[in-house]
Amino acid sequence: MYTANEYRIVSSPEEAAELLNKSKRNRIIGGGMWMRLGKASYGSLIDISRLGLDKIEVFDNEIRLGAMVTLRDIEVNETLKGEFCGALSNCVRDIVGTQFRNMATLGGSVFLRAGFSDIVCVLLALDAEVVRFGKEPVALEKYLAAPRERELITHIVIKRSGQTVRYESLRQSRTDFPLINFCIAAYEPVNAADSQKTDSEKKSYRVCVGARPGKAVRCKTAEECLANNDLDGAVKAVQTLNFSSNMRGSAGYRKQMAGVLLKRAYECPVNNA
Amino acid sequence: MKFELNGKKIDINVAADEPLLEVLRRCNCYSVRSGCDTSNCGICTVWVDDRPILSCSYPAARAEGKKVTTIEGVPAEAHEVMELLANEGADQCGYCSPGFIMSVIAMKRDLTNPTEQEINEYLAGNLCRCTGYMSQARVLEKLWS
Ligand SMILES: Cc1cc2nc3c(=O)[nH]c(=O)nc-3n(C[C@H](O)[C@H](O)[C@H](O)COP(=O)(O)OP(=O)(O)OC[C@H]3O[C@@H](n4cnc5c(N)ncnc54)[C@H](O)[C@@H]3O)c2cc1C
Ligand code: FES
Ligand code: FES
Repeated sequence: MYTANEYRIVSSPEEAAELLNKSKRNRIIGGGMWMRLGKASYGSLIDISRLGLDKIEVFDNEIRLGAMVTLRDIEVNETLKGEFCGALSNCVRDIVGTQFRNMATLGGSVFLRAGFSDIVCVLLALDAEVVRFGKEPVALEKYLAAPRERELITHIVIKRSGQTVRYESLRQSRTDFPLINFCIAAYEPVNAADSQKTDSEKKSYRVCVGARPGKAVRCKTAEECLANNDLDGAVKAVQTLNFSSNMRGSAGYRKQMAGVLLKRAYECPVNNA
Repeated sequence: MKFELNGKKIDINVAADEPLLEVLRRCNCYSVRSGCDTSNCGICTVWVDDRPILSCSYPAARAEGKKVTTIEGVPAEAHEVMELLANEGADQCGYCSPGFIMSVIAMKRDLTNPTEQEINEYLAGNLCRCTGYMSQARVLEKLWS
């Protein structure tokens, strides 16, 4: 468990940002579930739970999720259950337990960028955008590749592009960390010039593999292969990603399973829905 | 910090890094206890604003102005589940029972006609070292029949 000198429930994002920049020891607290596993000694814990950042807002062209939306909110939200083929709401279901998911937050999960993260893998396939206070919004893909900064995440935004999405993960037992996870999203083209093309040519894909055990990455070669209807090529391509071993699985096993999950996801609703 | 505990108004000093569990025990709610150090066992389950949470990990100061419920706050419903647990041999050392009961009552309020899979998923965060879960499964079946 951490220690802290002060617990401050802030009443505006400005106040949170100011306090965050005041000392390196000050920290935003999301659900606190990850922080509580450590033994860090903090100055001020900045509680952003009363800034209205716990809302899931649905617009015609996008869904805007506040940073304090919990994993359980995502799981039970009626719109999200029907959107993105249910992939976003389903991907959190095996994370520890109901009580845990009532606390762990979206903002904390994105900031943490954990390799094993189920939700980061799906958000990457959905081409989500990270909204930070006082900064330009940034694509999650770019955010994941950049070093951590002292900043307040306020929202995650996902475009409603009619994506067909499939999420797969493998766990040694339910509620354990995933030993590999995989998400594929198929996008219909917006470009009218594409209207002459055949059905399969019309699609573009985002193929994401997480818990390698490193953090989720896209496999662009696999995406190109799928756009050309080359499933075997896509399988080979995901297997060239960087995999390594830990107590949950070996690099070799992960590599094999990445191919299996890709096939499973592709042959399932992604290409048929 | 001011909050409501089982319908009573409480005004108590809390440390910045104190988990809700410690504060509830200081308020004489000894049903609330810890079973792990990793937010995994569910033994410390209580409700904040009627949602089940892990009090070992919930920052106490966040409960300012909120309504906290422990098993002492829902005696009739808790008694019903407790009796079934005892009859089915699902209350062995009993250490996990208060947290389990708080999750079961929350589930009864949250879900209507859940399937076995939905029940298992809802309760996956409540571990029991003694029983092997079959006796709890019988309890849950009886609760819904
Ligand atoms: C025991 C355990 C098991 C888990 N299992 C899984 C699993 O199987 N799959 C999975 O995907 N995930 C898993 N997780 C991760 C979990 O789902 C959350 O992603 C994680 O706990 C972080 O969310 P939090 O709200 O608890 O963040 P916190 O612990 O509150 O914060 C984490 C970090 O993010 C920062 N932060 C929080 N909110 C913001 C914000 N709005 N802006 C900027 N910075 C912020 C904090 O300062 C801190 O550095 C597990 C975590 C634990 C503790
Ligand atoms: S004591 Fe184990 S989850 Fe809280
Ligand atoms: S009865 Fe002993 S831990 Fe559950």
